[in-house]
Amino acid sequence: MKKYIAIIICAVLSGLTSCKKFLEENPRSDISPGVFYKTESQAKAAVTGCYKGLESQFLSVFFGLSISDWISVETLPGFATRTLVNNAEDIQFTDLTKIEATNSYVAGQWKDNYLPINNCNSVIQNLTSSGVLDEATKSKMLGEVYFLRAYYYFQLVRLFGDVPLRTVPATTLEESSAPRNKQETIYNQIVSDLKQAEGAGLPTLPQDNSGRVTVTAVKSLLAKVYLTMAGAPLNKGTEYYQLAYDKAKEVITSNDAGLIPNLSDILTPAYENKVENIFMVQRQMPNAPSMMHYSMLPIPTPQVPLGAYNDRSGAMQIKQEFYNSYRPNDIRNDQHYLYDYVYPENGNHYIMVYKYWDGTAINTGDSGANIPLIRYADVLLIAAEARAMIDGGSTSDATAIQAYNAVHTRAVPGDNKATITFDDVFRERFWEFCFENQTWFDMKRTLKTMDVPSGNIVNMIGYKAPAHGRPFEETDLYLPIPQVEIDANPRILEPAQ
Amino acid sequence: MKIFLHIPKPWYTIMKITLSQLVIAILLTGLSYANSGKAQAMLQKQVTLAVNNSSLSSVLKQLEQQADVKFVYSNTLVKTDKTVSIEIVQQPLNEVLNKLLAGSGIAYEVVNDRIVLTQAKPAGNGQEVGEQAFPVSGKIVDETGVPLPGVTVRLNNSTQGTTTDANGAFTINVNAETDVLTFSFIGYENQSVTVGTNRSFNVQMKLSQANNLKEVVVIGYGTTSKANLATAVSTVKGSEINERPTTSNVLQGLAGKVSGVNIMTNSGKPGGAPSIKIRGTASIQTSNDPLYVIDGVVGADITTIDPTIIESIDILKDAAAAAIYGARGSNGVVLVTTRRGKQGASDISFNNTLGFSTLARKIDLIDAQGLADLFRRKPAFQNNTPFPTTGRMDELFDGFTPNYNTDWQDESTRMGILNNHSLTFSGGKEGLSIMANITYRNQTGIMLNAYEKQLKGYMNLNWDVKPWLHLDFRLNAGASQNNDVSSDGISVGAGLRQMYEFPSFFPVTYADGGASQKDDFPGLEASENPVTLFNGIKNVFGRTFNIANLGLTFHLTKELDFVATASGQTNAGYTLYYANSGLSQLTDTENTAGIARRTHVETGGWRTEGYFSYKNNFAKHNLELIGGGSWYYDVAQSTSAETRGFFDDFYSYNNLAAGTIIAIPTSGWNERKFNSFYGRAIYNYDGRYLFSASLRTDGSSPFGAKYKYGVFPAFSAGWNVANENFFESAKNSISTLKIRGSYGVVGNAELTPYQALARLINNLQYFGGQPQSGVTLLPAMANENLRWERQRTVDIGVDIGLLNDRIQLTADYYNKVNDDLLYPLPVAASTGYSTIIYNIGAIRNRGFELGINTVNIRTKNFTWSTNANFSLNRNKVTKLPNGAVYNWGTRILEGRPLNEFFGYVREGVFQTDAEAQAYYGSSGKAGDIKYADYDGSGTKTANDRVPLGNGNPKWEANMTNTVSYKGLSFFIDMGGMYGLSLLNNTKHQMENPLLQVNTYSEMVNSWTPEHPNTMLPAIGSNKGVEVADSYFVEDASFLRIRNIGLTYRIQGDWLKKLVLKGITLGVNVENAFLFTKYSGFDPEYSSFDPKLIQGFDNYQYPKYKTISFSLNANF
Repeated sequence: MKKYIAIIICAVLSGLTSCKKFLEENPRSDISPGVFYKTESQAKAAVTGCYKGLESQFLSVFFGLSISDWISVETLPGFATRTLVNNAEDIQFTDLTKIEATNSYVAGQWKDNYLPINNCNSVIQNLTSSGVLDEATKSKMLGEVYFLRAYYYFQLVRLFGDVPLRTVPATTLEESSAPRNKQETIYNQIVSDLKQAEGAGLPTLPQDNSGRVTVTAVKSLLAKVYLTMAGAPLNKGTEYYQLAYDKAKEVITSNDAGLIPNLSDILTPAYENKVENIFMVQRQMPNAPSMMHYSMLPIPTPQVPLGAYNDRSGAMQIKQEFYNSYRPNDIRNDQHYLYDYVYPENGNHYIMVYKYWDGTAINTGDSGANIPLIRYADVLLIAAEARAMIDGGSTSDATAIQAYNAVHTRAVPGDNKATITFDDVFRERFWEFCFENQTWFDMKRTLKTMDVPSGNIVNMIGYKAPAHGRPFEETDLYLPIPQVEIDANPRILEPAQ
Repeated sequence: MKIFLHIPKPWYTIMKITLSQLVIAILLTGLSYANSGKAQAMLQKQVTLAVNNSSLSSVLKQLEQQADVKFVYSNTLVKTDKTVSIEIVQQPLNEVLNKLLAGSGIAYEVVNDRIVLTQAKPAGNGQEVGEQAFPVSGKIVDETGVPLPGVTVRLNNSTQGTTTDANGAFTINVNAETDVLTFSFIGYENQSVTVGTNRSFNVQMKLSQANNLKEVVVIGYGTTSKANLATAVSTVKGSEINERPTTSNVLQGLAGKVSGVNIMTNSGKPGGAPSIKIRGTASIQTSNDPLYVIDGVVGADITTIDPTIIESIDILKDAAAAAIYGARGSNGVVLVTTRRGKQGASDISFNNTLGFSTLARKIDLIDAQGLADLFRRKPAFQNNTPFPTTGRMDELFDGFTPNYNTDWQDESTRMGILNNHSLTFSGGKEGLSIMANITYRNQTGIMLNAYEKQLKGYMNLNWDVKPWLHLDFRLNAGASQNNDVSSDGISVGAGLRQMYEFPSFFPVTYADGGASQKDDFPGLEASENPVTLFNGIKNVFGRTFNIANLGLTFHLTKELDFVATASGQTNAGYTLYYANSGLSQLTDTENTAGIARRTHVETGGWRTEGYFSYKNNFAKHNLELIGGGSWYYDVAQSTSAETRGFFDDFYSYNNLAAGTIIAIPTSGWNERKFNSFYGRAIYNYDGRYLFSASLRTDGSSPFGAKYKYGVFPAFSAGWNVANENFFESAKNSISTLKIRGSYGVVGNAELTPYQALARLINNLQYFGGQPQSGVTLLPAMANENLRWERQRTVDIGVDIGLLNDRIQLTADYYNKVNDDLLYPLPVAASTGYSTIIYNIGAIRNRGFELGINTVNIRTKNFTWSTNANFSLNRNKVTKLPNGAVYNWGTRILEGRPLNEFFGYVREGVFQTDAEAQAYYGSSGKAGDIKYADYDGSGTKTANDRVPLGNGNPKWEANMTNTVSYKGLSFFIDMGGMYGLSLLNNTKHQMENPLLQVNTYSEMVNSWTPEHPNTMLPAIGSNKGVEVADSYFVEDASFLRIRNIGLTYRIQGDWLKKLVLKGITLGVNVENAFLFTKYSGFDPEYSSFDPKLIQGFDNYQYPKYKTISFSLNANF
């Protein structure tokens, strides 16, 4: 009998403790951060996760139409419009009517960058305190993340101006409300992050063609950041043009990157993550497809099947004026960067972006082509532009001249120059980097734009671009803070700190 | 100890659970304090009495008052009008009664807390007479004295018996004078008489009350009598649910039957589950579905059983009633009791319904010529620019005259056919009863290729295994499958969307047999026509389920039971999808030629529960106690796989390996656990003063570690005024009057697991085409302080019965406040998170409910009864600290009701370019929409948005009338809602003035310089078309004749020769008439979560009207 009583008492005790245990949660298909960062593989997976987000602005598709956040920004300079525009949100961008805070592309751009920033912050916080990695490995891993955080913030600050700066993850609702920080603060953080990455011991581009961050990419982006800081609105001037020039020159003299010699090879997959393509959004078919090919297909009227497609998104249509701004012997508008698609039925012209054409996708319907983010051509033109600015608007500095000529003569063979002006370089940027996530930012940092089709460089404010309904005004320079952010974070409207 | 620890894990777990129950058993056994001496104590009460020639009845009344006892007797059997004289000082009651009743032929006996007076058995010769059977006869009449044929006369409650003839007369052989005859007839109260010395009986049957307050009500963990209840519980009989033979599930049948219970059929999908809201929406984030309990199985799925096997449904509406289900009771509890086999009877019931459905209502879409004329107003075709002539345009148009005019509503729909067969066996032998049902239902929907099939089985078995042990066992198994033709949601590839949007100037097929596509008109977006889509896409949902439940009731003492139940269930759900190759925009490339996808979700769970139930009476004190605990466990696992690029459509979704492109398969796993302890006391004094209290502690795994458990108390009190002595005189007119009030706290725990935990989600990143695993933070911020939503409800109600309960009224007022509401609060996106699930805010629902049941006319052959109810609910978000939450045209804001549409108010159309440019900037044009400028800014700003209407009704009313004449019954069931709005987003999309798709006929009135006074913008205007404005928020008040039914019950002796007990034939029109101003298909609709965004009509799945013929045969 005593034995039974003992068993019952034991059972009672275990029964009471079991109730608490019974309700414990142990997820099996998602991992908890509490048990993470314990091995090198886990750390690496966390770092890899920080790349997620580079693609966001290029991807969104709604009801079969490609309406990515990226395309809206590409229509802001006024050289392209959307086809099949049936949406007032598109029109706010394409016609430069007032862009509203409720516009979903605005919210999209905001989220596209802040989501990955949070991952970067979390990884930096956890890796820094992690004891499972040797210092060299840890440094390299952190270097990748610092670069990515800088990249995302660079996007944000250029699109929105003053934005909240977060470098550690918020963990409670109370911590989520924050005012904006001044652009200068954001830029200083970007520079600081890039310097961290620069000294992290990352491989060079030739050493690592996998598509991960290389020191070549870090230096190239840093050069771009300096160039941007030198111009509007920080206007840091010569000191920063010098920093930009030096950093670009470092990349140039390292010979870690180069131009793809032949412009007709620009679409060759063999050049992905190497030579000219210093940093790219990594895509794969069919699991991580790119929408770029699809969204740039022409939409002829009437529609006729084009390869695998009965229907195309035809998200952008380039203004004839921009197409006509190219010099007669420039081959970039001739089936390389742009394409003059002639309707087979009626001979009408349709200017499309050819840069993202994927020869495979035309049959299969899926493109796995990478999307370039940093090209060596950009580094060359940064060097040329920075030097021209340092030297008072024109230069005959050998590095600058060589850099400019390398980019220019690839498109216009034999057209070498001995002296270049800012206008020469800047004009080249429009032709070289059109529809490549560059033009809008180039215009904003210089407050200049290219008058088409004349090709003259003119003041941006007051210029009416071909696609727009009115000239640019000061208030067009930054996207409004998205309404969803205002709703959730009332402090966002406080003066920037 | 050691031995214990080595027990294999599963057994160890089970032992822990059962032993925990044992502990409760030990703790509660103290309550089983016996009271066998109770009757004795009652009879030992001392009384003093002095009467002379008083009537026996008045003496009994004096005794009642002195001794605080109650006498119960029948005036017809016990003659109390005789006079008695007696003088007694301080003697026990039993001695007084012995003296008083000596020689009167009256015996007494204590039954429960009453003293029952009966005719004394004839002394001495009873047994001897019993040796010899002798006949007795009689005549049975109804309340008005008309003879009643067909009344069952049974002997000693056995199966032995007879029925009355056409003149209400009967003859039956009895064995002894002690034998008891019982008379029963549907609709009348049973009566029993002891044969005694009578050989002839004239019996008047009394009508049973339509919604008898004496009936038993299921209240969770037991039953009680309705009279003793002080909480808000509504009961619906199975017969009422089955008035509508074409309903595909129980909820549809329940629609409009109960006040305060809003059931909306939000889709015309075959088998589409309606939404149910009991007393308004109380939770934003978690479920608003009530808890379903089928025969005691908690958390059951109401769609797994056939409506025909339902005996009754009890709905616990207020918190005090639902509090015994604590955690899961905040949305009310629906308790389903299935039919049980009757002792001594063997019944076979066969139900067959054949129905024909057609589109209930059409919407006014433009015809081909109208649309072509509108297209010519597009900027591209103004100034008489001809239509393009390329592609198929020559076939489509002769100049501007369309060659085809297709009504896509007609082309996309068909006559749907419903077949329902239900077979039920029921019966019982001594100590054992059983009911087994199998139902097969096959419905083809009105949309092309839509169908639903269900096969459901249910069995219940009740068995008194031993005098001390009762067993009940339930088995519920079945499967269902349906093809949802609204698949692909609202994408261009959805057939349903194209039924609305496909231009009327296209044919289904051209003369050469080719199917029309929208871009055959150059410039329109590419899409297949709806017929191609309905035929080309399969999206099959299916499930199989098995639920077994074993309950054991141990009769520990006369008053104390211990109930232990264990149940297990498995549920496998699947979605099978295949899109044929070659569908424009969907499957028209090499990599997408045919898309096949299979998703499987398997859930499993067990429940174990143990509670003590104690019932006893102490004089006039009646007490019922329960106490126990439960453990629930649920696990769900999912798998999904997809391949594309099929060389042949033959394989459909059946052979994924035939696809060339393999998508990354996905899978998931989650579990949820509940642990609860509960207790309840129900007490009444003399049936007059009613009290109950309950307390439940609930633990639920998804909450934060510190907040797993919640405590939920409830109280109720009531007063049966009509049972008071002083009310005696009024009882003839007011037969029931009960005032009751309750207060209770319940919780809502229907929370997705793991939200309190921070989690990393994995993804694949590709570097140089090679995958690498990455993890990222979940976009939802973790909240480790996640705690219970709490709901506090005050309910005040009154139950009134007039004219012997021929008119019954139940009215309730409630105030229900939900606190600590869980909501996925938008977090500033600058944190990198999008939402956090947070205990935020409060919602109040206040309302009034009125239910009326009347028997208007009741004569021998003719009855007319009416059930009506009225409900109003006012909903308000009383606290939402972090500002407004926007959601598909609705907004949730502190101080405003839920489901409120919000946006710009359309005032008209700008008449000049200048006006439009002042408002819109340089691109403004005459014909652009003009919005009300509330902030006076002169332009369209966010501050111009205002509330535009509410998706929930101001009030709702329903009425069912039943008229019966002999075997013929006629039902008419109608219901209406008033003061609700619908956001007609379909119309908004289709009336886009950029005119890419088909449109409503009214668009011919769009602005032109010649037709300036209109609300519709000019064709080609591109302003303000992205958000639906006030113009599309329509008044959706409606009155619906839900069902008209006629049944005829065939009776007669000839049926017996065919072994038939009876046949009922019926014809019904379901969804017969609809009166509304709403311009869409149906105002009772919601495309999205009806709890939060009720009334958002986005390509509504149209509803149907059904004419059905039913046959019910009993063997």
